[in-house]
Amino acid sequence: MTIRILGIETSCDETAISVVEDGVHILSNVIASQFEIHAQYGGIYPEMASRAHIKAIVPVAKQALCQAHLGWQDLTAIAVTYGPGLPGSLLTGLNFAKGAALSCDLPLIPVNHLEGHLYAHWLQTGVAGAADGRLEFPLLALIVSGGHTELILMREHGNYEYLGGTLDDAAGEAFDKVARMLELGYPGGPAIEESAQQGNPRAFNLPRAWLPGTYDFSFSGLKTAVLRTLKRQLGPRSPRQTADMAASFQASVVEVLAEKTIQAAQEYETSAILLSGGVSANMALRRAARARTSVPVYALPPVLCTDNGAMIAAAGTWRYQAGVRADWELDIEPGLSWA
Amino acid sequence: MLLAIDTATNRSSIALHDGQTLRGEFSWESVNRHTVTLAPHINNLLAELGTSPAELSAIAVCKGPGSYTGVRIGVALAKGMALTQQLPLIGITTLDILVAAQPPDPRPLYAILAVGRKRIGYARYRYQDADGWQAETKLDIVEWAQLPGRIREPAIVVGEISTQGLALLATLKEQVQVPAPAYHLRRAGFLAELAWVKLRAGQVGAPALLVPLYAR
Repeated sequence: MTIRILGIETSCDETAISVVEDGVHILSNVIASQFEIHAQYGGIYPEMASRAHIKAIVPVAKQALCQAHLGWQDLTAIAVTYGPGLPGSLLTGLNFAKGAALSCDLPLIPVNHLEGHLYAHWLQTGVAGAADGRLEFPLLALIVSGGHTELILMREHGNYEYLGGTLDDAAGEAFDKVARMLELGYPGGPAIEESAQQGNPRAFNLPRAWLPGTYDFSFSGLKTAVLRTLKRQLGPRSPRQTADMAASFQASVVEVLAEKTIQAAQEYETSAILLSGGVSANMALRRAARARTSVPVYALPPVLCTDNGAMIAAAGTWRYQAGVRADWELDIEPGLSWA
Repeated sequence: MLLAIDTATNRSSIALHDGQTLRGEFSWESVNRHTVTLAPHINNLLAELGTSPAELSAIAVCKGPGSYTGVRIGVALAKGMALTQQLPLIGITTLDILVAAQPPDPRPLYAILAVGRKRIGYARYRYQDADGWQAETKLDIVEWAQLPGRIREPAIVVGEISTQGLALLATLKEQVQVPAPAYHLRRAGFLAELAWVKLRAGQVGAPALLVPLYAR
C-alpha cells in the first residue's frame, strides 16, 4: 500500500510542509522562508520566528496538499518535528499537527529534526551527486547548519551514534557572524561563498581548531581571529580585502569540516558520506570532502540542504513503518539529541 | 457543534456547545504545559460526549492577549482542526470571555489577565443594558502595585488576581469588590456563546486569517 506522509517542520525560521510518497517521492515541498524578517536583525529573532510560523502555517499546508493534488483524507499519517529547535517555533508546528491529526483521525509521527536531515538522502532528487536512496550502512553523516555541526555514525535505520560536534558556535553561525563583520549581509553562508570566489584563501593566515583525538569542532577562535585581523587593518577595507578574508575564513572552516569527516569515515569504514544542513550547500565544502576520499560523498540540492518538510516526511515514513506513534501528550523537546 | 479552546494563560478551558446547549466544558490549571494537556483533553471531551471532530461545525479560540506561548498553542491547534475539516474559525479576545461571565452591575468592572513577568493586563468595562459589558478602555499592561492607584470609584475587580494582587486590592477596602473564586475563571462555555453570536451574524474568518493579539 502506498504510504503518503505530510511532514511539518517549524523548528527554526522556515515554515515548511511537504507530502512524500513511500518515503522517497516528493509530491510537494513548500517552504515559507522568514529570511526578510530576520535579515534586519542579522540572525534569528525567536519571537518574530514564532509569530511568522503561526501566520504562515495554514497557507503553507494548503499549498502542500494542493501541489500534491491530495486531500487530507488521502494521507496515511502526519509527521512533525518535535525537537531540537526554538521552543516557540516547535510548538506552533506540533500543535497545528496535533489539531490536524486529531481532526482527521490520522496517526501522528514524532520526528527528530536531525534525523530528518539524514533521511533527506533517501529522497529522489535526480540531481548529480545525490544519493537518492542508493545507500548501504554504515554511513557517516556531517550535519552542518546555523544550529548544528555534528558527525553522526548511522549503522542502520534508526540507529545513530554521535561521534562529535561543535563545542561552541555552529559552522553556519560562524558564517553569519563573519558575514556581518564583513558587511556581506544575511544569511552569511551564500554571501561568504560568493565573495570568496573572488578572493585568495591563503591571503590571511587564520587558525584551524583541529582538537586532535576527537571529532569535535570549535569555531569561536576562528571568529575572534577574523575580528582581530579586521581591527588591525587601517583605513577602509577594499573589496579585494573583503573577498580575501571571506575566502580565507571559508577555507579554514571547510578544511576542518572536510578533514575530520573523512577521518571518521575511514575509522568507521563507512560506505558513504552524507552532507546535510544549510552549510552543506557550500560548494567549497563539497569539493574539499570529495578531493580527500574515494568514498562517495553525497550532497543534496540546496532546497533539501536547508530545513524542509520533505526530510521530516521521509524520516516520518521510516518511523511509521517501524510502528512509532505519538501520544496526544507529545511535548516539544527543544534540546532533543540522538537517542 | 462548536468546539471552543482557550489556552491564553495558565488557566485553560475547552467546551462543546451546540448553539442551544453547553454540552460539556472542562477548565484546568496548566502551568506551561498546554502542549501536553490540550489535545488529550479535547480528545477526552469529544469522546465523553460521544461525538467526533467530523461532527463539528465551527471552532472558536481565544486569540489573546495573554502568554504569547499559551495563545499560540491554542491558535495553532485550532487552525489545524479548522483547516482539515474546512470549518470557520472564530477568534475572541481574552477579557471579553472573562467579562461575559460576570453578572450585571452598575459599577465599573476591572478585568485582569496575567501576561507574564509578574505583570498584568487590564481593561475597564461598564455594563450597558442592551449590549452587556463593554470595554471603556484599551488593554493596559501594568505591575500589580500600579493598579490600586488607577481605581478611583467603587468597582469590581475580576480575573487572574495573585496573592500579591489580593493584598493590594485589600488596601482599597470597600471601594473594591472581589467576587468569589469561580467568577475569576475564564470559561470556554462563554467563549463558545460569544462565538455563536459571531457565527450567526456571519462574522467568521478562514483559519489562515486569524492572527494572535500580542499585548506588546
